[in-house]
Amino acid sequence: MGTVTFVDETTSGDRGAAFGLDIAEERLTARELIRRRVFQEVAEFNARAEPHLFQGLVQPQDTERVLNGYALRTPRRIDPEVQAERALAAFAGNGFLVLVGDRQITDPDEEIELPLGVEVTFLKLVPLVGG
Amino acid sequence: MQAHAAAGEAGPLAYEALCVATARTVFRGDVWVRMVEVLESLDPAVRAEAAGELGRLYAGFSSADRPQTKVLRLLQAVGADLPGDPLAAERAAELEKLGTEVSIWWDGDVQAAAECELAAGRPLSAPVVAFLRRCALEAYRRPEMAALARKLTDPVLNVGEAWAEQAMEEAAEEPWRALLAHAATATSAKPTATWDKAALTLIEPLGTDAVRAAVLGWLPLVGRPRTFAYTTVRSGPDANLAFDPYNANALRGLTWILALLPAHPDTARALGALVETSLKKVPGLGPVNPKVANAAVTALARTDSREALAELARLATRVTYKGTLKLLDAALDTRARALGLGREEIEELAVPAYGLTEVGRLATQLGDVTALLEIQGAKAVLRWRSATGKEVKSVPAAVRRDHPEELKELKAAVKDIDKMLGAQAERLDRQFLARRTWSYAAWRERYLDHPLVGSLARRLLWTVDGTTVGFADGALRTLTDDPVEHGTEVALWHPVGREPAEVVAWRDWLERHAITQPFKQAHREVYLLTDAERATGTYSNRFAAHIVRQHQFHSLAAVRGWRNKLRLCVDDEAPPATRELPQWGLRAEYWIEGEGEEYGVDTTESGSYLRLRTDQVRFYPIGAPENSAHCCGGEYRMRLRDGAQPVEPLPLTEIPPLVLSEVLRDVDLFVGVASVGNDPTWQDGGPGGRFRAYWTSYGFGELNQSAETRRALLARLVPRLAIAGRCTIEGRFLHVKGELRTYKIHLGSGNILMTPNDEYLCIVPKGSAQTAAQTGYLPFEGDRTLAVVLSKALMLAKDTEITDPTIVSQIRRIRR
Repeated sequence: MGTVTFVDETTSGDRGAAFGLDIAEERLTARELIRRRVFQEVAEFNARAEPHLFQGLVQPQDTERVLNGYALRTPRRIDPEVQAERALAAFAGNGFLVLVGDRQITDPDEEIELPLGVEVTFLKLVPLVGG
Repeated sequence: MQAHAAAGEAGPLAYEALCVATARTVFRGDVWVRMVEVLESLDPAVRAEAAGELGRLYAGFSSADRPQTKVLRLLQAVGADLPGDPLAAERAAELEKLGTEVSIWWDGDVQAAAECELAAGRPLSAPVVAFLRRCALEAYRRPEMAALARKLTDPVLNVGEAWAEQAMEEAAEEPWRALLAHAATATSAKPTATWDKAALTLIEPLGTDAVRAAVLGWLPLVGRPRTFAYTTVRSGPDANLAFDPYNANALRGLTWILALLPAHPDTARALGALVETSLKKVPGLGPVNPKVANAAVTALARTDSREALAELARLATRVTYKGTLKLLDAALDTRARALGLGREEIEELAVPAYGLTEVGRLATQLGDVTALLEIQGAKAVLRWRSATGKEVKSVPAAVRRDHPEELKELKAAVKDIDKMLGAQAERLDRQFLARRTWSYAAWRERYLDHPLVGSLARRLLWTVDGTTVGFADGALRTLTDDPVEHGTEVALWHPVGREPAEVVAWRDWLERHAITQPFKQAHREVYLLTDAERATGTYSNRFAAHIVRQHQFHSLAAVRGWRNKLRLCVDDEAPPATRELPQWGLRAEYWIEGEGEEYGVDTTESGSYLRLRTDQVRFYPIGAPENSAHCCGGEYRMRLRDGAQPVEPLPLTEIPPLVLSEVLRDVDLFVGVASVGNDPTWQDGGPGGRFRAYWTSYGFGELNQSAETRRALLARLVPRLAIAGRCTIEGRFLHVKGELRTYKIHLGSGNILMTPNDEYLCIVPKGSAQTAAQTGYLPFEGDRTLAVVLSKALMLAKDTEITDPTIVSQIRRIRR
């Protein structure tokens, strides 16, 4: 069993606090990797006494963006399945990038090697329109 | 007409007269005068007939859309002295139409008609009374109008404003009514002793608490949209957004009354809010009513309470309107002198704790429930914990039922704290140039351990006896996390003059302790003297030759403590934008001039320039004579009075690096925010295409400091991306090779040029809801431009897959 380190990189070049996730497999698809991450952060969120600020990869439904995350209008549990679906949709729509080691993963079904201590970076992007 | 008159033909005469009266074209005054003369000289019998005819014509007549004071005059001239006053109804109807007008300068017709109505014992309607009072307050009023207005005592205030209507409803009975009437007589800047005495006599039977409660109930309604709108829109500022001038006097009176009551926290709060409401800006007018704002400041200054002092100190950091700011400064100086303290010290001591018992926190027991008031970042949050220790987000029913007063207090405290946190963060930001040092004990008390300020101070870096420290895990700590317990002298840390490695190390330290700073301190941009500036010697051209939006520049300058004068497209002189730095004996100047000369294109309707052209930044000794230049441009010259000698600008090498850095940072902010180069819709170069070259060089020119950082980050990031094969960084651009074209994304602005002919491609971030498209821990803010550059690169690398038609059409555009 190995530990994969997850890092959220901001575009100012600063890195968010890393957190580790134990992963038993040596190979996983990108889809599964994102799911695991989302499940982990949702589980941590739901375990809190009064869940109202969600700090995670993608914005949950019916929340408001605040400085350091997404505020829930009323404290509630977040459904990890729904949240994972949103994350995968965001991934498909260039909402964020996933870098494993030094390589960007683009295909959600690509199997990725996860050597011991590998770092997975999530990088957020901006939605664009023509003007 | 004269022919008709001679023939005694009343019908045609009335018709002609009505035509003249309603003529929209400006007719000659003598024509009108002669017509009235003809009418008045008529035989009463003919005139009565004409009046009857006029009444009939009037019934079928529609002049609905503008005030027909001439019609009023006509009705007056034809009918007023006839038996039975046959045109009274018509006259009343015309008069009534004026009730929804702002005012007119002066018109004897209106006055005569109103007097006539009053003489006939018919009361005027409330809107008409309001209109006449406004007329009486016009600058060019005649004494007759003022005399008429004095006779109008009912209603006691002018209708049309929410607060006044509420006040009149609640204060309908005597002696409340008398109090309101007395308030409306507040027409000077300060109350006289007689005024105060009369007010006290009125307050006494009502009781001070009741008066306070009533007035504080009305003040929050000030500034609400009018209850009915004015019908005629005059050119110039929209009167619907301004205060009714008669009611504004009453508001002043109410602030004077509040100052006579015993001090109360709610009073300070309401007066502070009134200052801000009265200084809200209205297009074409500026601050909506500085007179009311100033009265509220004066009332605060007269109130001897800690809350009032705190409110004054808070306003001093928020208000940018010069007149009011002067009053605030004077009030704070007076208070400081009275207590034998320095001005800075009084501001520090004035910060209230709002009941917080420890830094950023308050826990109160309300029955079984614990209320927790906590400062989280820049906001205060109210949370609840039930008897079982379970947290609930909404206010528990038991608290609502059993402790409504405490609940109200807590909610008010949350609002106060939010406002005060913003004001204090700004004050602390200004301390960089204030050259302040504190004794360790005083600093701990007023900053680090202050229940409110502490929540900010603990997220900043300080130097204690020269050692840089931050607050983490319950103690002041050095870079190596060693606790620092004692000291003698404390100062605010600034990155100027620090080794870059130390600055970076502190940034890491903040990140490690997950501290979000209230403003940029560790990440503050540093502006060091350049070789070009050493060469020019006494001035910096670093921010010269930009085109900035004047009004945006003006308000930014005021917020950052600069003094500036809006430039009008007229023959006048103006000083440059200046910032005085008394602690350093220096004055910084940013030279600017109006841009363009075409009225309406380069100026607003009121004649102020839309845009400015920027020039040098200079420094002078603080007492040097003022520079000025013609508003439309031309050389700045020193204005010498009383045989004063000209003073040379100071060499930039003599300016302390901290001052140079902070001043240039301000100027960079002005240009960075207000430049027309930021506006993607200006790709055509604005009016007449004049600014195309500027816009292009701004959007695609040399990189500034932050863009250089961005370039380094991209160089690290791009090779890791799936599109790495399509990207290269060359000079100021990230080149992205798509299927259809190759794109050059500028690293400074994020703007895009397309091959083959450097055509501009307009893509902008989507919607304002997405403005902060980042999550996770941010040390102060992210680099949005970098996110934009990356997002654009990813999109353009697969340009065949773009579906947004507004982008596709630009890329696939066939050049003819």
